[in-house]
Amino acid sequence: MMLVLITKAPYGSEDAYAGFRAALMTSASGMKTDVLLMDDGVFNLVEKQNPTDFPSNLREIKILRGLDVEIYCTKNDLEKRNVKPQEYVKIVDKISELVLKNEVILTF
Amino acid sequence: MKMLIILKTCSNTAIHLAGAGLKRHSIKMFCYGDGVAVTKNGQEPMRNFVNTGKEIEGLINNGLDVVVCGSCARARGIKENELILGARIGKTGKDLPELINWADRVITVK
Repeated sequence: MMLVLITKAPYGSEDAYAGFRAALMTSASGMKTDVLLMDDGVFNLVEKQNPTDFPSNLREIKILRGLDVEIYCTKNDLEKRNVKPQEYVKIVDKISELVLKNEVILTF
Repeated sequence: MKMLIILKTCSNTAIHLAGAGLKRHSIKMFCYGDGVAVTKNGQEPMRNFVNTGKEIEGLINNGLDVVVCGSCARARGIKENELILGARIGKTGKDLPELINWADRVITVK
């Protein structure tokens, strides 16, 4: 099981996008993969993203959802940044359980 | 132990880590995003700066396997014939999962 940890907001740098792409590749290959959005990573959940020069990270999330990739984030990170998540996002209080149950964690 | 280093930046730390690990372990490196730049040949750093390409070339000669994300390299205009000797362009969708499955430990350096 693999967890892709994304800590960066979309756009401006390719970190978050690269994380979603890595999750796409591993899940498409059959590896159980989940994504945890932490810190500014929760900004990837902002609705109505409409980038003109870059692929939409929200679209990447929707593709991942189609591959049964769960999207996690913490309540604290959402509240601090006033981000309202979509209904499919799993909100956790603590990340310890999530971290412990995954054998591999890739950080972006 | 089999260790995979996923390199996301031009990092001397990752090179030292790989060098130290190779003494006892089997190490592979996957260069992703900006990390692909370390495998560009013909680097001419300023005096007192490390030539990361030469360093990695030395590690390859000692057994390090270096795979470069193809789409990341193409995005940065780096072609396979511009890589240091021994590094190879991989298919990320195939190679990244295979390398993660191969490894006992995965370390991301960013």
